[in-house]
Amino acid sequence: MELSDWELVQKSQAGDRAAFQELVSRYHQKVYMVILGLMRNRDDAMEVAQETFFRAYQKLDRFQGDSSFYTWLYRIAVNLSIDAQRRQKRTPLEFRESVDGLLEKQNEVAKDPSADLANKQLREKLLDAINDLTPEHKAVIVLRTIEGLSYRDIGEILGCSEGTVMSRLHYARKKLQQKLRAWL
Amino acid sequence: MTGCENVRGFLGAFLDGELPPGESQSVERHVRQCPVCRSERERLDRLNTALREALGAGGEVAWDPFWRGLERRLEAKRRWPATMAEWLESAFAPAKLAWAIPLVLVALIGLLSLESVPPIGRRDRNSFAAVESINAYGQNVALFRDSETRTTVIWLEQNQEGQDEAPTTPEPSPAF
Repeated sequence: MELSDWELVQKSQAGDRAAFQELVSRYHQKVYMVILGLMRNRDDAMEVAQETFFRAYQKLDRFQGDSSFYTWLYRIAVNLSIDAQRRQKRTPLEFRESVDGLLEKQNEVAKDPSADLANKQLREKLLDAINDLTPEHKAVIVLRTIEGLSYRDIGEILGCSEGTVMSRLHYARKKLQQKLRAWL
Repeated sequence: MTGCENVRGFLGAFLDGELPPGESQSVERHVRQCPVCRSERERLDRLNTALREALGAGGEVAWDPFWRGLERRLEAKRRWPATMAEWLESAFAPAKLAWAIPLVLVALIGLLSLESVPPIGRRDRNSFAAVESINAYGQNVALFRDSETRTTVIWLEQNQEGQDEAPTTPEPSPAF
């Protein structure tokens, strides 16, 4: 029978290395995707993902199970991503290159060239528009879109109320719609 | 919740399934009847789809470096307390401490004898200045020595008066 997150956390706290490895296995892909959504650079995202699990391991003794493990983990990931972004504000060129690389990789498996061009342009505009959002607005969009998390969970991760999450999402979507008026 | 503006404020939450059942039904009813709000709902749907496609890409990565790096860091963290304890134990074990006593004494004596370290209880600089006239050559020599910065300045200046008084036959050089 598969152990719950909380059971694995308790085993990890008791020094069971395999239990912590199982927790990392469960969440590393999801955590990486959330970080990538916030940072848009694969190398930086990988580095922050690794740092997230390392910090989680360091702080695991203090985790009492008041919230679910994944909201606690995402909180670490989001905070580290926002800090990293503020520290090393990437230039538009570097950002552009990372997006172009991503799009080229996707193009390799594309079938319809004209549809692909339109999709490519839309994605490019969308990623630009997301990048222009404030870290707080970007975080709600990413957590809702990638993880489909509830407003309650998002609020727990970001340390705000469900009402604030709803209002931030509304504002962020409105901003994105304004910037992509010609495309959507 | 009947006005278009009001409904549009909740369309996102409605599509996210985050509205209470009563409000959700009210929005649904309005959207079914109002073409403007219906079109707004479709736009929002398209935005959500585009967001999922754009943000969902990029997950295919090689995880080996991630696992290797994480394992290395975790292993270092696990080892650290044990390594530290071992070091403290070996360094401060009484039998092994004996060698450190003369070493510390020598280091202290060396430190105190350094010119740059001021004597304990006295913080003034050990420096002096002197000016000497060399009448025979019509020169003034000024000497300044500062022990703190380990600087010695020797200043040689032509003495106009001395030049006038200088004898025609040179005398032996004064000894310094």
